[in-house]
Order: sequence, then C-alpha cells, then structure tokens
Amino acid sequence: MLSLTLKEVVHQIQQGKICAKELCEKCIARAARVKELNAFTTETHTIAKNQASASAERQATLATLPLDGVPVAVKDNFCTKGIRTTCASRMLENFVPPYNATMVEKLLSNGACLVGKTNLDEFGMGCGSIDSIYGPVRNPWKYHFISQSLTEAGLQFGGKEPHAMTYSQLKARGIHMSAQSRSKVLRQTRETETMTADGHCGDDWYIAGGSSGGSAVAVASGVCFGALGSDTGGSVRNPASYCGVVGFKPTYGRLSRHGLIPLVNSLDVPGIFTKTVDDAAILFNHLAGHDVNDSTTVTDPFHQQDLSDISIKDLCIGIPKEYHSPGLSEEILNAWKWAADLFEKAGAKVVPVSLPHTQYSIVCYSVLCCCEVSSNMARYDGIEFGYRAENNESTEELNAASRHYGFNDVVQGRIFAGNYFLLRQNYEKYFMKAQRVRRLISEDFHKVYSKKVDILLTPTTPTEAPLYSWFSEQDNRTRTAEQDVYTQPVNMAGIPAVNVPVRLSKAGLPVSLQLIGQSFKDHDLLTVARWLEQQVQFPRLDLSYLD
Amino acid sequence: MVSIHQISLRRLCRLFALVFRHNRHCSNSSKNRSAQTWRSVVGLEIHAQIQSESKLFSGASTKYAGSTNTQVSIFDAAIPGTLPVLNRRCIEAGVRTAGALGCKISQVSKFDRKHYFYADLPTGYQITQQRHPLARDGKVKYLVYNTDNWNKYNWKTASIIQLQIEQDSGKSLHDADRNRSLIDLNRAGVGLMEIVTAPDFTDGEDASSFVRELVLILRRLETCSGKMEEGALRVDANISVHRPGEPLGVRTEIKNLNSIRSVGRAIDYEIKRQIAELESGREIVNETRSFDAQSGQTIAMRDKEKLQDYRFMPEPNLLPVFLYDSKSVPMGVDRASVIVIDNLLQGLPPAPSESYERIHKDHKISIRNCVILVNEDGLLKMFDDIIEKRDAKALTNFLITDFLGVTHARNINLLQSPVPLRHIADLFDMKTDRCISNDNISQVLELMFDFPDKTPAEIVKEKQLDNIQDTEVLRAECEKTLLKHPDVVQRWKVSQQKEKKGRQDPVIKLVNTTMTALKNRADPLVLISIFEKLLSKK
Repeated sequence: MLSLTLKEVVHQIQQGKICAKELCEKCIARAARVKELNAFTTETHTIAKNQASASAERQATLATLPLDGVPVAVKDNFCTKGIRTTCASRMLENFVPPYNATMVEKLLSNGACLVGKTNLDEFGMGCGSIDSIYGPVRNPWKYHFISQSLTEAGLQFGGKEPHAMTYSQLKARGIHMSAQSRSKVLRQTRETETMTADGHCGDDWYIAGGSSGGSAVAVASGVCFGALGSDTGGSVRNPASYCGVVGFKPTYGRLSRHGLIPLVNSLDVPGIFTKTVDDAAILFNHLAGHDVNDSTTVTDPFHQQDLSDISIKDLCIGIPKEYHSPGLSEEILNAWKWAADLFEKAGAKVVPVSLPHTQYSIVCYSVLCCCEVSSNMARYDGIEFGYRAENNESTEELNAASRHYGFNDVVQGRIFAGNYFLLRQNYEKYFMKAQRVRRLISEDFHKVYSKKVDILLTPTTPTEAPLYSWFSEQDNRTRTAEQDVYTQPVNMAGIPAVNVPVRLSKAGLPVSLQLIGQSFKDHDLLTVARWLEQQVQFPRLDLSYLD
Repeated sequence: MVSIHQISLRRLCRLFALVFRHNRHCSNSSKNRSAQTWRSVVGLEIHAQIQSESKLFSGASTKYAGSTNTQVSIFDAAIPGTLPVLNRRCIEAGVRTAGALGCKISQVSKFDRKHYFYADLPTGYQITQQRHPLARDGKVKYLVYNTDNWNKYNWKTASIIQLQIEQDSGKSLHDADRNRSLIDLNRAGVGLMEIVTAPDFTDGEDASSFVRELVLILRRLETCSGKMEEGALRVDANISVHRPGEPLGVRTEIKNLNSIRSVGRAIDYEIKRQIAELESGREIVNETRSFDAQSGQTIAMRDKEKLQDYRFMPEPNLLPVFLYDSKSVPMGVDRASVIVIDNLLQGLPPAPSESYERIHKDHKISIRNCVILVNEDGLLKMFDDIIEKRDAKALTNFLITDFLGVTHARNINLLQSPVPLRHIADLFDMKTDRCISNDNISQVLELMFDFPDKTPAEIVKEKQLDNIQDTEVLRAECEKTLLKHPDVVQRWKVSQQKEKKGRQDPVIKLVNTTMTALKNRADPLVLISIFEKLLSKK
C-alpha cells in the first residue's frame, strides 16, 4: 500500500478501496521502521490518526475531500497551529505557532493527514540537512537499516525506539547527532563524538541533500505520499535529486509564503515532494492561488489542470552550455546526454543555449541571502517568543545572549555578513550590485525563452548523493556554493523548475535531472516532466521489506 | 556620508569657538554683540498617526487606550512567518495629506526596513519609506502668532521635504524598582505619516505655530486626530545656532515633544542653551535630547543612535505602491482596485490659512477671532452658514462668547450639536433686534440644547426671557428704582455739577439694579434713555 502513488491513493480512498485509518496506521508503522533516517523533528502521529478518522467518516458518507486521508509531511519551517515549529534551531525549539501556514491550511482543509514535521538545516541554511539541532538526515538509498540488521540478528524492538535501544551501536557505526552544527550548546556533545565521526570505517551513509532533506526522505521512504519543502536556492530540488523523488519548485508568487518562516523572502518558494510528476501536479492544483495574507502572490485566477499526454514534436528543449561545469560528474553528464537524446529521438528540437550570467549566481546569492537573513533574523531577540537566555542584566545583554546561544554558527555567520553588506558604506557596493546581477541572471532566462525555447534541461546536482563522511569535510558555505550551482539561478529568476529522477547510478543511487520552465507556465513544465518520467521509468525505492 | 559631514561641521565649530574666544579678549562689547547676532535654525520631523480603523500592515485595531496587548495581531508581535499586508486606507490618508501639504505625490513609492534592536520593536526593524517616500517637496503657508500678543502676527511658508508612511513602535515601561521592562504592543504597527520639514523655522513660536497649523490641516482632512496628548502626533525638533554668514552649527535633536506648548518651550530653551554653551567656549555635541516639561529644560538622552547604522534594505514582502492619475490608469486595470490620486484630492477642505485670510479680508474680523473661528471644529462652517447679510463682528462675538461658552461648559462637539442651525441664527437675530438681553442669552442657549426641537422664540415666550417692550412698565420700574436709591440720584446730581465724565456711573448703577429687578428682561439702552429723561426732570 505504501508503494502506491498519491494519485493512486487518492483514487482508491475516493473509491473506498483503502480505508484512511488503515493507510495512516501503515504510514506510522513505516515511520517507526525508518526512524533512524531522522527525517522528522516532530512526529504528529496522534494528530494524523485523528485526521484519518475524520477522513474515514467522510469516506463513509461519500462526501470526501480531494486529498482525504492522504498522509503528508511538512518541513519544520512551515507554521503549524499548536504543533511546535522549530526550523531545527535552538532558537525556536519551544515555539508553538498560533496559526497555520496557508500551505498547511490548504493541505488540511483538503483532507490530508499530517504525519509530522520534517528535519532540515537550521532555518533552511544548508544543502545537506546535516546542520540541525536534531542531527543529520540520512538518505534511505543504499542505507543499511539497523532495525533490519537487528531483525536479521533475531532481536526484537518491542515498542521502543531504535535509537534508544541501540544508541551505542549507532555510535559505533559513526552515526552521530550533530556533526556540522557548531552551535555552542552542542559543541560539548560533539567533542565527545569527534573520535567516532572521524574514525568511521565502512559504516558511512549518503546524505539526503537539503535543506528540505527530511521531506524528501519522508516521501522516498514511503512514510507519506507528499511533503512540503521550501526552495530558496535549490532546497527542494537538491534533496529530491539525491533521494530519487520528484521535487517541484513552482513559479514565485503562485504559492503563498504566509506562515513559511523565511530564509530569503524574495527567493523562497514553497515546494512539493512526491513520488511522481502527476502527484506533484495534484498537490500543486490544491495549493496554488492568491492569498490575501501574502502580497507577493499573484492575483490572477489560478485554474486547476490535469496533466495530459503531449506530443514532444513541437517542443524546443534548451541545453545551457554553462551548466557543463567542472564539478559535474561523469554519471550525471551521461544521464543528461541520454535524456537530451530521448527528447531528440521523440522529435523535439534540442538546442544549446547560453546563460552567460549563471556563473555569478552563487556569489550574488550569497550577498542577497545574507542581507535578508540578517534582517529576517532580527526578530529573534528572546522577547516575544523563542529561546530566551538567562541573562537579564539589560535588554541588550538578553538579546545578545539569546542570539548567541539560539543560533548555530552558520546562521550567525550569515547574519554578520548580511549586516556588513547592508552598512551604509557597503550597500551600493554589495547589495545594489547583487540586485543588478540578479536582474542580469533573470534576463538570461527570459532571453532564452524569447527565442522559442520552451524548457531547459539541466542537471539538478553535480553528482549523485555524496557520502556523509565526504560531505562533512567542508563547511556549510563551501558545500552550498558547489551544491546549489544548477538550482540557484532559477530562484533568481523566480521561474518554475522540477527535479525528475531518471535512473540509478553504478553505485545504485538516484541520478536526477532538472527541467526549468517559464514564469507561470507551471503546468506546461510538469507536462514535459511527466513525459520524461514516462520515458525513463525510474525504479522507485521500495522499503516494504522493512515492514 | 552624513557623519563625515557632521564631523567636519563640528571641527569648523570648534574653530569658530576659538576665534570667538579670542575676539572676546579684544573687545568689551562682544557680549552684547553676541546676544543679538546668533541665528537659530529649526527643522521638524512630525510623526502623525494615521486615523484608520486598523493598523498599517495588519487587521488589529488602532483604538487608543485599549487594554494592554489586546490589539496585537500575530504580525504585530513579529510571529515568524507572518507577512505585512498593506492597509489601503493608510495610503489614501497619506495621499490626501500630501495633497493638502502641496507635495508632489510619487506614482511609485517603496517600503524599506530600518533595523535597530529595541524591546518594543518586535521585528527588529521598522518598515518605513526611506528611499522612495510617498511624497516630496511640499509648501505650507501658516500664521505665526502668539496668544499673549495678538497684534504681533505674520504669515510664513515652510517647505516640506518629504512625507513617508511607516509603522509606529510599541511602548516600553521601565520598572526600575523591580528591574524589569514591560511592553505594550497595542501601538506597534499603527500607521504613521512622517512629515519632514526643511530647517525653515527660527524659534519656538515659529515652529509651534507651524505645528498648530499642521494639526489643523490633519484634523480637517480627518487623516490624523492631531491629539498630541494621546501621542497621535509627536514632534522631533532639530536645532542649531550659528552666526550670520557662517555655516550652520552642530545640531541637536529633541525627541517626542507632545504638546504645541512643549514644542515652543523646548526649542526656545535649547536655542538659549546652545548660545550659552558656545558663548562660554564649549561646543555643541550632535546628540538626542528629551524635554522635561516640568523643569522646562532639555536633557541629553543616553545616545546609542549617534553611530547607529540602520542598515536599510528594501522590504521584500510588499509590492511597490503604485498610484495613478485618472488618465494614466492602464487598460485592463480595475479602477476600483487602484488608488487614483486626483480622485482622492477632489474636494479637499481649504487650508486653514486660506480660511484665516478669507474671513479676515471679507469680514474684517480680528486675527484672534479668525483663529478661534477656524480652530474650533465646525465653528467656521456655522459662521459661513449664518452670516448672509448679518453683522460679522457681532456674529463672531455671539458665536465665540455666547455659543462656545455654552458648548464648552457642556463639553459638546459642535459637529454633533443637536441644535438646528436655523435656531442659532434666530437667536442671534433676536439678540441683534434687542428682543433679548445679553444676560439671558446663555440661559436661552442652555434651553435650546435641552429642547432642540423648540425655536428660541418659543423658549423665550415660554420661559418669559424676552425683553419687555412696554415702555410704561419699564418706566414704572425705573421710577421704583429711583425711589429706592435716593443716594444714587444724589450722586448723579453731584456728578452733573462737577464734570461730565463721571455722569454715566450712577446711571449704570441704576440700570443694573433695574435689570435685576426685571430679571434681565430689558434692553439696557432703553433703560438708560428712560433714566436720563427721568433724572433730567429732577
């Protein structure tokens, strides 16, 4: 049942073939089996069960809602009423929002069941989902589940969590809670674990990508059928690529950001994780539209649209030549060529295009991102909500202490940089210049599209999912600069893009590609993505052996 | 850039201070000379709360004096994930105000974030319009006057540099005894118009006259209540002094002046203080000061802002504010959904200065009375509606003395007066026709407020407040008075023999006595003539 797609599940629930309650129970059981992947910051199983019961009652009366009984997960930077929303930060560890984000509200009002809040890099700053106060997220692909090995060894779990049961074993395998997080609070813990982190041998695992790694893993591992993430520089598409799921970043302004705790307001877009492109389209249909609470959502009416089969013949696919960058792995390059050939063979025109300013995107992003981060983080002063330090000598001392202990090093670093860029004497030199470069990057795309190119085909990530041991060798900033290189320019332009897994690498890991569409032509993009998906027949991860 | 500029100014001033000290040693007359030759320069920043139901970016109420922290939306408390949603009413109020201040209204204005940490600023930044304000370059004509000396008044014009829309902050209360701060966010996020003037004022009287005029303009527009006692309008004043022909001095800023009187007093004190400082060889520091209304002094505030860099950044969650002329609304845009400047500016009330000038010129009313007519909400309209061919001075006196006397005593807002205008006009006419004595007017007015349906004629008849017209009755009463007061008659006789000047005194005494006996139901002039006749026979 957990291997079904969202579309199939919706259909079967509507038909009464699956009971919402039973489905929910199965998802919860799977969540327990894959708990060591650390995809969730907060599990909301009781809430999900109640929602599933309500769905089941509606099933009985045949008055079902469009997403009735569909288990979903939400990245822990979307506000959920009465459910703590942490952004994986000490700062918001105790924060319980008094309201639902519009995206959450839409999911719930359409009947979906919330199984949990998913893990992420603190405040979405990262691309590995390893900088979280809750520890790193692990990629389910090629993952050797302890629960499985324990079962094989004849051990029984009982009702206890695998973590608690086998913590020493986990440690022995080099799995620890917070390798990259440099939060002072965690430093001590980490020091006791450094030995094992450095000394792992063979017991490594692949990162999930990030920052929405928890949501990608939740969908890939079958805990839910759809999940929300947020995409500022690739935070949906990157983990989708590594975890072998569809990750869709719609056009900026189509989905409401009300209730999404911001990273970079002008780049943030709520994103959708699903197993298939059709599934993404279904969720998109129910999530899109103007929101009076978000002035940056477009006001023109949104029309729900099912994806239809298309003829690829009239299509022109652009291949940006700048995306052949040195870091691109052989494996990805080959898949890229293969996919381009598939389009060409099916009659599409495949043409090389140029996006000359793409190369400046990362540096431009790091300026704009830091500026907005420094501004957005200013509200975390320990007064109205969130972490409050003990220091009460003065308001300034309280602010400083709360922020010092509440944020990890990555967040603090970006705040410092942002404040520097925004100083009166630097504003023109950094912020204004970055804004102008952003416009050039954006214009690159529009120029290409004005030359009759419909869609761009690019890699999503330079490689397949890297090993944790390798990834954690470098700091967050270095990794973000190399990981977001293909995804990040899209956010600068506000255009839609989707990650489509296309095949497995020699190592058995997902290899994914990115399709980039035109502003507000989200459905057109998904239609092409669906065509590609049908051609490649990607083998989805099946963890049913764990159940 | 500004800070560098200021530093060089400070250096310059130090130089001048040295030169000046040197001069003092050389010349004995320098002290006198200095007191007369300083020039003071004053510029104002006025924060006017926008009169709107809800806050600038949230639906929370803006009502004054609500229970603590009850008018706070999740946005106002900076709950993560919340976004600002612009209140169109606030922009419209800003456009109307900018229009009334003669500003050029920007077709595109933008919001910026201004960052600083303060406990009553929950987001850590204020949303304001630093770089692209709603309007610029205005001119306001205003009347400079002093209520102690109405003969001394003059007209001036002040330049408005810009009008920007921004958020108000919350309020902090510091409880020193228990070492804690209490925060009320009811005010956080209320819409403000910040009106920045050029340094066009010379002293406290000048600046406070401008503020008075501005308050009047805003109240007429109904874009701000102008209630300074409620904090609905606060004034910051930038003040410097220099010698003619020399560059401007280092300025200080006095924050949060909350009455027109304080504006005047604080500025005058600060000018004197700065001159005294400079004359004794010290220098003025660029600092923020507060005004203590009790002692009448300005006091340096703990100044964190001197080197503060607000790190302005465009607010990314709000679209630019687009305003249109009715001709420039693009095709396909729903006119109801956009703000059209000229529609908003239609039917703006006349500026108070226009009203002063009009009634002063047309009706020859004294400036003092013009000011009262214009300042009292609704009074000028009442005047204009009643005047027709009537006597303007008499009507003004009637409205200011008799009518306002009653409404003020009863604490009645003229705009909500239940008495029909026609009845007020009738009463004035009765007074003019001497049908009713001045002493009975207020009594009639009181009854008119008690029984707004009754005409003054009816009231007067019912309550027997009209003047007795029968001269026989009056003469009989006068004769009675003469019989009762032979001493006064005697005094009159003496005064007649001595000199003519004192003649009136005894007569007035007799008239007053008779008026009381008649319950004020007589025209004193008629009584005087009767007495004069009666006395001349003696």
